[in-house]
Amino acid sequence: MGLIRQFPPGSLPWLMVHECRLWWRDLRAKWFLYIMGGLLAIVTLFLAGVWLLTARLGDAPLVLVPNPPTPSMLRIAGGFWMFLFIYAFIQAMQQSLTALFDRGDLDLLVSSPISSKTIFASRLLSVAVEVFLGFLLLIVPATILAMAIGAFRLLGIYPALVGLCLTTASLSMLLSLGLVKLVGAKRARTVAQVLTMAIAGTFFVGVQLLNLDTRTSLSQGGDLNIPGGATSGLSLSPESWLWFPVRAIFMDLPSVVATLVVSGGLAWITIETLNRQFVQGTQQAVTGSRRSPKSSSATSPAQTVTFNQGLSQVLLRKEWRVIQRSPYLISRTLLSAVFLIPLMLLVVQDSSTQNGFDLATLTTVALPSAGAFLTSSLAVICIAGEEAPDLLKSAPVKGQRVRLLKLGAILLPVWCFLALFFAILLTQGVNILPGLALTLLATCCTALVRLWNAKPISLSAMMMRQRENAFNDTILIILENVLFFLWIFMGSQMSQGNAIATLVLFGFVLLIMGISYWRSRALGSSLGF
Amino acid sequence: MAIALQVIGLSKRFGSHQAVDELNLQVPEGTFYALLGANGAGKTTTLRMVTGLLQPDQGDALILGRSITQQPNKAKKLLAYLPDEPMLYGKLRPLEYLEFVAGLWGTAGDRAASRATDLLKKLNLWDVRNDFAETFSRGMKQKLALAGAFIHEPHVVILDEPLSGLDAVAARLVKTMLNEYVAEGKTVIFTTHTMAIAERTAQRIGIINHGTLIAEGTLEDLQAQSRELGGEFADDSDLESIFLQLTASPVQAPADSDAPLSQDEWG
Repeated sequence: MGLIRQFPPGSLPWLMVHECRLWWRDLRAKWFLYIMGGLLAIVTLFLAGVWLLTARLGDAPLVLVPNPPTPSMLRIAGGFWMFLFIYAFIQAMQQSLTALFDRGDLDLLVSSPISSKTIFASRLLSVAVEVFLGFLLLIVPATILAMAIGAFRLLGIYPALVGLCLTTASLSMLLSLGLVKLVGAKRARTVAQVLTMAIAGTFFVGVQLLNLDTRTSLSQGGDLNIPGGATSGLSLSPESWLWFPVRAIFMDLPSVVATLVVSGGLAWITIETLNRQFVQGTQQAVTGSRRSPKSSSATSPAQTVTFNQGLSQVLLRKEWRVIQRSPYLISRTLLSAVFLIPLMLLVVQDSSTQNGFDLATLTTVALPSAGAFLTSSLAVICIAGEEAPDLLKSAPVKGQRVRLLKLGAILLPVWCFLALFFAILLTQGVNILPGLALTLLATCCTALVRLWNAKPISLSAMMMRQRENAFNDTILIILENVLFFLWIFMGSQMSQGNAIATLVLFGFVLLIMGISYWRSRALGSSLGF
Repeated sequence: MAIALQVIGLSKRFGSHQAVDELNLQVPEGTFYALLGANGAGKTTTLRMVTGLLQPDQGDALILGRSITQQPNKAKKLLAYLPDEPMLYGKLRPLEYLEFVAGLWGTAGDRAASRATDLLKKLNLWDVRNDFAETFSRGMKQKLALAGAFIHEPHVVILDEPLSGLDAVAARLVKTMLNEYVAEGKTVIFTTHTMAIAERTAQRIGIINHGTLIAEGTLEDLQAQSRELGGEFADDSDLESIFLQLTASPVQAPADSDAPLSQDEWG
């Protein structure tokens, strides 16, 4: 409270403190457990750092960061920087979309005598600050450890992060506002979310596949070159000037200065050029979500709706309509599945024969886990995203039947999708029975866990990260993740014919299911009916 | 005259808070009934128990003689419930929503289809029948939810703050529709905080305070009760004064006035 009074009302720092205060209160309300976990990690790592420091004083051998860093160290740091960039970009996009579409105070700010440039600058900088603060839980323990072993040069991560956060905040604002201008406010949000996932997904998969392909050449010191870059002197080797943001991590002074100047310049240009569009975009976002008095449907042909349907048909049709009409959810599901591809390739490749992938492993590992993942995503839409649980509960239908139909709506599309792969594998002469059994088990269990622990909230609220409190069931997330990894391990053991390990893992699956069922009793959940 | 809704000793406790305390109530069929009470008095909890959304700790509610606890599906078949927050699917169009609700209540068929068309036209939603509900204003959502409540031709309609969010034209439309429904011999039970609406539209009024029904009857019955109690507002005949007296609301009168502001004065 005191800090905000230190600045003149209406000034940029005053607005930024206001923004950060709101962000912090929101974070504190939602992520208390994570913050506590983070603090615990900091303390643990600090103690570990002290222990290492003691060991160092005792002449124990330590690996210090050489100056300048070796190419292999730069490559590792480059990978780390890529990860941070993707994560920061996703976070910045979320914050930008919130700033543009969700925050209810923009009308107040825009109607005030504060200039649009100050408002936009405060939003952009606060997005950067929020992303930066979000990184601290990860970075602070790491730098404590680095200092403990004497690698003070690694403190360069902080200016590198400042640059990274400013860059991603500027890019996210550019993308959001560009989309508002291109496709209108109504579609911009969905397109932006899909694009964010697509960019991040492509980047991630690209890096992973590149890694799989070129692992050997890179380990032998080979470089990657930009096509046509040989003539222009552009190279992706760690010695290239393009690596200055990565070298900033090692406190290379020219790189630190370049990082801050480039990112600061980008932010300044963004603020100077886009502040008016921001205000217009905001107004469009507010008015765009409301209907115009004259609807296009007044002149469009009448829609065909059949009223001669039983409960099963109307319920399944309704669920599939909701799924089909949520492009963001579909993209999230598919793109999240894309994230799994490198993991799957690694799993399959490790146990592959010389001539290609081990199809038995593919059947028992990749398909059940992919099925579980897809089921989980659809279950979120159909169960957690049930917008009118009271309507279902007040209807003269048995809750058990509704639950069964919901399970059907979730599982049928997944089974149909995976059936294609099983059919292909069958034509290859692969024994699909173990994989098929495991896939059926994995998909059913995953859907049941979500059903038993359901806390329905509206689909729109579910999509807004800022309002995820009701959706944030940490225990459910843990149960789902543990279950997901159990399918991978179980499939792996099953493909190797390790019956005892498979049975032990199946026991863990039963345990997770038991906990989930017990929670449903304790919470009185299961959609509340 | 048959009893549309009979509430028998209904109770519900949330932790240490007794939300509804052995509430008894009878609503005759073909009645426009208003249930009044201050915030937290237990109105919504009562309605949620009556509609089967909440399990009572004790007691029962009979919808035209069918127990909501013993024969929930038979009782629900006769009921429609419209909460203060419309129960809609943003990604469904109006006709699809009505098709879904009709399917839930097992009233599929040509009759439901023509009724859906009539309702949408009557509620001025026909022109937006191809738009998703998520693009609707609050008032349009409320009207669509109302259409959903009426699609299966319920005998008893229970509405929680049905006029909230509606403009004057839409509010008049809904009131007319509800009146017509009552004229057909059906029953409408609604809650409101606007005393003027209850006074003008309801045939019978029930007042809940601290989870108990403290007064019930026609406006004249309530005035008589108020006179018997003889308090500060005993001579006033408007429902607001009676309500304040009966619930002993700690309202502070403005310094320059002897009586609290009326609904009209509040605007």
